[in-house]
Amino acid sequence: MKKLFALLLALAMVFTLAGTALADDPVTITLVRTGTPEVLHDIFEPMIEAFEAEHPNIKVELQDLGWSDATQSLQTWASSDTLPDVMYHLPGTIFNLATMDKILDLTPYMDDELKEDMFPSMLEAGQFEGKQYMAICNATSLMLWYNADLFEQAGLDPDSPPTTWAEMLEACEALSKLDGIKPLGLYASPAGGETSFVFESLFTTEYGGSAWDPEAGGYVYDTEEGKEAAVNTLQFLQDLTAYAQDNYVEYGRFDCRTLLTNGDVAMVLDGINMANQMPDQLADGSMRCALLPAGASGIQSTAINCGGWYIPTNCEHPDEAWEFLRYTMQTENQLAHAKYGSVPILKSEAATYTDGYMATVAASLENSYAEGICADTDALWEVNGEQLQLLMMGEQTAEETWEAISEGHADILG
Amino acid sequence: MPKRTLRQRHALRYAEPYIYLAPTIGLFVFILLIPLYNLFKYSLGDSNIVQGFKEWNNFDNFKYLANGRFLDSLKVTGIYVLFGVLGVVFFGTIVALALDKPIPGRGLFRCLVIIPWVVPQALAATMWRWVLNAQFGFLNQALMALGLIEENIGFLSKDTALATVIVVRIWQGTPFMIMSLLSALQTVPEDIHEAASLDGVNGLQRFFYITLPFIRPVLLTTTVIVTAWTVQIFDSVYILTSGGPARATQLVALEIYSKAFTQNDLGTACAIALVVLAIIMVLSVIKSKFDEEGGLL
Amino acid sequence: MKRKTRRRWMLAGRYAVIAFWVLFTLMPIYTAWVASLTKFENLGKSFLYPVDWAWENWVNIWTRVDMLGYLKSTFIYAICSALIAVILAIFAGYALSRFRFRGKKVYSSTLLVTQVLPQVVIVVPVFMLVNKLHLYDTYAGVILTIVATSMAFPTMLMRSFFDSVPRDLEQSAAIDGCNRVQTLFRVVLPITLPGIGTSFGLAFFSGWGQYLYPMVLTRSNALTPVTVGISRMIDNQTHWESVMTGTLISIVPAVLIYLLVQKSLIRGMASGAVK
Repeated sequence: MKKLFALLLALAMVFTLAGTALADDPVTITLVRTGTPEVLHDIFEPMIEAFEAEHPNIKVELQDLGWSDATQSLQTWASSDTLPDVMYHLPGTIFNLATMDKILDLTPYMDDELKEDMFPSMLEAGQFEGKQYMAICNATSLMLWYNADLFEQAGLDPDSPPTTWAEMLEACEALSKLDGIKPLGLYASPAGGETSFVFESLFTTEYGGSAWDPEAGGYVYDTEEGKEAAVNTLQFLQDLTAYAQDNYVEYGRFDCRTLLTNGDVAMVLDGINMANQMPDQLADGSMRCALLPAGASGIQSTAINCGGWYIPTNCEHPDEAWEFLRYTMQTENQLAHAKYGSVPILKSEAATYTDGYMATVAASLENSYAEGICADTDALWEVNGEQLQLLMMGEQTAEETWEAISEGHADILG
Repeated sequence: MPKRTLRQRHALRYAEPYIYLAPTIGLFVFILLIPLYNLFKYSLGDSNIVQGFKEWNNFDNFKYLANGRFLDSLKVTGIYVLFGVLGVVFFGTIVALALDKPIPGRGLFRCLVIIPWVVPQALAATMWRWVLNAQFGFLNQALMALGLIEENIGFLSKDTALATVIVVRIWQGTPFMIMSLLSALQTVPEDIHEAASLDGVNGLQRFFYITLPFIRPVLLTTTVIVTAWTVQIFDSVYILTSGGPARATQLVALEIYSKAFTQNDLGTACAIALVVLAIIMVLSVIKSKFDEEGGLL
Repeated sequence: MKRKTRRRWMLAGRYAVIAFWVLFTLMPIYTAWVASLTKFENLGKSFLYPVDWAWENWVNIWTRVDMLGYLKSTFIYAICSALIAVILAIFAGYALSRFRFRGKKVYSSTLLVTQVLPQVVIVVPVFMLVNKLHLYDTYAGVILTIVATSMAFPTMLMRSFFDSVPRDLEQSAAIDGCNRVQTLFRVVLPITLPGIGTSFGLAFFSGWGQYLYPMVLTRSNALTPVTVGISRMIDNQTHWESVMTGTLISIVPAVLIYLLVQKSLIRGMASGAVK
């Protein structure tokens, strides 16, 4: 009898345990933030811990994915419907997956508070064919970074950096008198995105508008209407090469940062990521940043290069996934995330930057256009990368480059 | 052991080699044949990685094969493989000869020269980036410090990039050749050399008439393997140049990658892959014609 | 007298070749070492010699990324794929050496093709298959793929080893009542041990350097090998000093293992490849 009782008790306990487990069974969502794990763990582990404390029924599992293996992994995951529940990546790739119904439309989830807090260009950058596939959480504008000491040595006023292309060429000319340095660090390595970004940013200020026409689903600079501005921009890029360091076709963005911090060049056009490379010099004012010099439109505008969160359609717990996504977009969390290298995405975030270079960065967003992103962006940029390289090596003229780019794009967009 | 009839024994005897080969055949079917079948299928239609085969497209994918861009990449690959392999054979042979006879420090040298072989390709390329960087690369800095150059050399510029990636390939591929040849050289009898040198035969003659015949089989086999490995190279070139500048180092493997992963055109990527396969098949048939029965492969 | 000077010149020549080659070989390693001792802010200032002597990079790497986990996975991939490859190579090599059979040529060519097939060519279809077999994100999926694509060389090597074993030995064993498999294990294999060791060594090193297959065929952090783990650190503001430190650390075990097997590797290749 005792034995039977014990058995029943044991059974009862097992069932209760199982029952409670079922009721509170925590949902596990997987999280991938493409990028360097060593930096990202420091940013996201505390965030996940705080989130899990607030939401005991949700567990977040952080998986690593580097940029070097992102393209392959993402496509293989998509093909097997095993994309992580929440993931950070680039719009071009995600919109491509969206055309294959792999990405969830976030429109029903986006609350007004978030929509109003986001800079409009950031909100729009996550939209494709009228749907909100991404919540942009990381972006950069293109700015002019320069060495104040070298400016002074060349007789230039570091407090009034060039604001137009003409002034920039003048500054280059003045800096070229200095011994042992080059006025400008340029990069033209074949990774298409980097040089495309420079070209498109410069184009917006020459043309006075976005480089992308969402209605037509194509680049403005590929059309006859944008041709003049495009050719001028290409010509300007080619003119700049006269002042650049040797062998610039071998350089990527990263290498140019080293050139600037080493004092080998006086100016570099780069995104926000430059800041992490020289925090001390930015603080003491020996290195500074300014808005991108303006072309014919006279407006110092820039393109914006973005990345953001998305939820795939294969996610089994979209509500929980959104819960976490939304959590990362809270001002303080977004500020922590921005340490990886981002301009402010939220107005509330921008408000915390009142002085120093970040104020300039925030100002650069006033006239900014989200980069032209569609489902074929990677392929389009590959064309740009190769043609811009040929242009900058002096292998072809601005006019020929324009023709090659628009033809290459036409092949892809059909 | 139960007695078997003659016929059973005969059948067993016939089946025996296949039994030994069965596991590898199974593996090849799964890991190679099925993917190869898919390769063929994808090449015939509009395909991408995410959705696989979408629809038949009238051999559209094969049109790219006549494109000048593709033909150029074929040429680049040819040069890369040819000089990469020649370099490995040449340097492998002279280094192995130099290390063959006892010499102070030989043990250490033998160990040092093998290192590139155990460095994963992908990581080797990142190391080379620092050696070759146009501004602060070790090589430019060292040459500058020695006063050998006045201006930095662009090792990865349009005219030099292909040569540079070939040099990196030689760096990676030679250790294996050195190791094979060192082992082959052990089989050359010492007394032949003694006799030859008494007869006043010079070093070069000695190599061609005495050493070479001994190491020839190993040299040939290793060359075939090194060629195979060179055709495969992807990571190191992708990391060093991404195929640039201006497609100067655009190998066919990079072409396949770019079509499949960047341009979402798995179909064309597979069509290119089929061409690579066909070329390899032809080469291996030619090779087997040269091989007498009992050759290594 | 004349012969003595000629010997001297020969020796000098050999040293020149060796010196040139060792310098060439070590240049990237040395550069990586210098970079690994540089602080992030100072990268690119000088690569001639270490300026910062930042040994902390070598300490921090273990906590910055899961180096230990990466190394563990790499070991598992390398050892398991080498083991399986050797076992399969023994049987396949034996069959190729001892039998004439239909399809031998086809088999040999297939073997060659597996060696030449660029990984990028088949990685996507392989992924799709592995995923269908529910082997995605498992050690098994990666290991089988590595084995299938690196079988050729061990097989060839074992074949030539078996070729060098006199058939009389087997015949006398057969007379003693051993069947063929028994003969293989009791008589032939002990003689070809150096060959087995060599094959294992070669297969091990080819498993050690795998990058694309584990990258595409796995996703868990626990299954990440050192090649993929280190490449992940590369982005647009890469901490190259960590990448270089990690790279050097990942080479060390491979070099140590090479040192252990070096003698038998070289001896094994000699006796196997030459009949």
